[in-house]
Amino acid sequence: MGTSNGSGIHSKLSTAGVIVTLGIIFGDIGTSPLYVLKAIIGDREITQELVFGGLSLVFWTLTLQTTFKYIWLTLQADNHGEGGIFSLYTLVRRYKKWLYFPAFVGAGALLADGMITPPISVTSAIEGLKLVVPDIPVIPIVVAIIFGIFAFQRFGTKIVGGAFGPIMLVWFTMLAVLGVSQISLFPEIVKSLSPHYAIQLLHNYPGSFWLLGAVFLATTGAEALYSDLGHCGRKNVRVSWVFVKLALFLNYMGQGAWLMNVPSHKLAGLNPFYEIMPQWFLLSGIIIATAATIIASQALISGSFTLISEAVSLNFWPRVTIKFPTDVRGQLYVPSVNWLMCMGCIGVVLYFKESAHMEAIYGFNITLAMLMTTMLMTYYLRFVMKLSVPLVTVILAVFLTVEVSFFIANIVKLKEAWMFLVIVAGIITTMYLWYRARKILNKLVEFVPIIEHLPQLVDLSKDQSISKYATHLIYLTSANHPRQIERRIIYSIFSRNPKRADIYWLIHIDRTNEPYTMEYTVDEMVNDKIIRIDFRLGFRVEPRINLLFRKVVEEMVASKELDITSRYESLSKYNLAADFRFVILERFLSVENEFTMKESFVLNTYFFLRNLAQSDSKAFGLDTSDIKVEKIPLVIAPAANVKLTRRELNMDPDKHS
Amino acid sequence: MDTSREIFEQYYLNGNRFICVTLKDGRILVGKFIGFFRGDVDNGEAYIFQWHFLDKKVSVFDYDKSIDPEQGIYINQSDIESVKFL
Repeated sequence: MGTSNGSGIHSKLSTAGVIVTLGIIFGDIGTSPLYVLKAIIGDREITQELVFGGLSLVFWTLTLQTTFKYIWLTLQADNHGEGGIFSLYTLVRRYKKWLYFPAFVGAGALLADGMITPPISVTSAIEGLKLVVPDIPVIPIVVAIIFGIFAFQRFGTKIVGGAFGPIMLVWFTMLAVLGVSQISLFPEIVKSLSPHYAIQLLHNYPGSFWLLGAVFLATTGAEALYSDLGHCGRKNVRVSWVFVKLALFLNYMGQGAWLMNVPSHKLAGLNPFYEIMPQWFLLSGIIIATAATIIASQALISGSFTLISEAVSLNFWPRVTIKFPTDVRGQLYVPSVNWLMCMGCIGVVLYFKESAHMEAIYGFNITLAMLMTTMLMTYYLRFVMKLSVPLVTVILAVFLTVEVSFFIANIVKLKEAWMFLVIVAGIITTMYLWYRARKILNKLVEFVPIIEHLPQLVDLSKDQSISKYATHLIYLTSANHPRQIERRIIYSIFSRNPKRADIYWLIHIDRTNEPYTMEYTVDEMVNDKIIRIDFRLGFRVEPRINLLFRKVVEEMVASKELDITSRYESLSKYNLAADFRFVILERFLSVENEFTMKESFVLNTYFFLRNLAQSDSKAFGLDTSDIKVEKIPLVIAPAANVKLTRRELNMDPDKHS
Repeated sequence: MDTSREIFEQYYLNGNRFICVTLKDGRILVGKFIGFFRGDVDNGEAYIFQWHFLDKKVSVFDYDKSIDPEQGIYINQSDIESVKFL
């Protein structure tokens, strides 16, 4: 069962919610008619067997993969309204320790897909312009549009986002109307809904299995649909899918009807999507198609930002700068990911040049992501929904059969898409190394019971012989238990230039499995002397400590639990606020270590990536605060066999003369 | 069986008294635990997988020594045979 209803801004079922959902969720899957049938027919001879069989396969793929697997089944696996592979992972991770692996692979595949979907969608739309202006330079226009989409990300989509839904409503209505206009010319095409034609095609058509690679393109947006669940809510997604599927299939059948009436028996480079448009409507149709592909690209880019942000929160990815361009909840901007994706997308356009060539690489990553979701879903069905083993086995068998077939059919694309495999492998390796290194490093944190050090802290605070380091001194602690503290903090306070303060604060962040938890507790260990704040933050909440801490202090002042007036006599009479100082302890790998080759590789990569990533002070939003960064050497395996031989001084007078 | 949680709770409940630790190799150590390293319980490790131990002879009463990470020895939980509270 879902853990709750959607928490997104449009989570309740409403007409507005349904329209917004069209803009956010269905861009990717909704723009598939631009290239699916063209890819299925390709250079093959147009026959009834191929057209009816192809349409039947598309219909049943959409029914099984999108309607049944994602709309009906996977959307139930919402984590407090949020979807996506990491949300699913957080729901099931307690059941098997290796489940991080499918989550890494799925996320890597989705991120790599973000570099293909915008190029193929936008190129397919702009190629339509050739019907109006045959010599139009498609590539520069596509590159300009893609660059524009990415350049615009820093401003967020608050202003234009409201138009996405209505534009997609126009798009889907256009798909349906164009489809119906062609179906009326060849009504028999409706028969293609029968699975009989799909089976016949797979059974009789030469090389039919490899057609699945093209058929699969019809359902590529299904995974993205799950990722964006949190923005719309399950009910809105389900209701709008009825309209979307109807519009999609009317259009596919319309294209099929047109194909059945083509006199030449060959497609010869034509795109049935544009061929079913009346000449007078062509330019308008291309403009609407271009707008729809931009919206589809936007959804994918936003999804990639969310994915990286979740990966950072779950300690799967180095800390990167994450910005919040608007006050819309969940709207993020990750500059590094934005520009990497931009370069990747433009690279794809320049390398492949035509959408027909891009079709040859599209799909592989998504089959991989879908297989990984299926793996995680199996645990969700069995352990969270408590379905019986035989039922879970049947569901798993059905989806594995379908998805493994698609996966194999898409493997041939690797010949062209090897660079995406490299990207996926790079992302997975980064996640794995980061995850492993964090595990190793977490085990090297020594804790001590804080109670033993409380008297010394109080004494230090009162010791006038030591100059005051700060009025409020704040440390971040990873100790989950309120009565524990890292030894390195104690060492920093007492042994490294004793730090006298009036009040010592310990801040701990606990990441919850729910996406948007924002809670805190205050524990005054010694009244007005040592205070611990525990924040419980959801995995989608940015840990902006400065902001959160200030809020806590304000609330404590308001409830008269805390007085932040300066403790200095000269300043207190003017009611000036006291100073707050953060100490960040940063570990670095000491040269004194002797590692095994594996440890050395994992830790060196970790520290290398860490140097490239955001500093702790920036990551915690403390860059505007008074901070002291202390470097702590990390000695894991000190060199044990130091063979140092002492030699007696040679007192031979001849040698000294 | 993981007894580290029990040792941890008993040890700190009893006010961090001197203890006698018998190791599986027969060595007997007398002193105090001055720190500990938590294991990855989700991955089947002990609650505390390693203890930071300071010998009685070193004198725990010397506060500087008890907070200095270079003082004392590290004992794996898996090497501990028994712990007696003195």
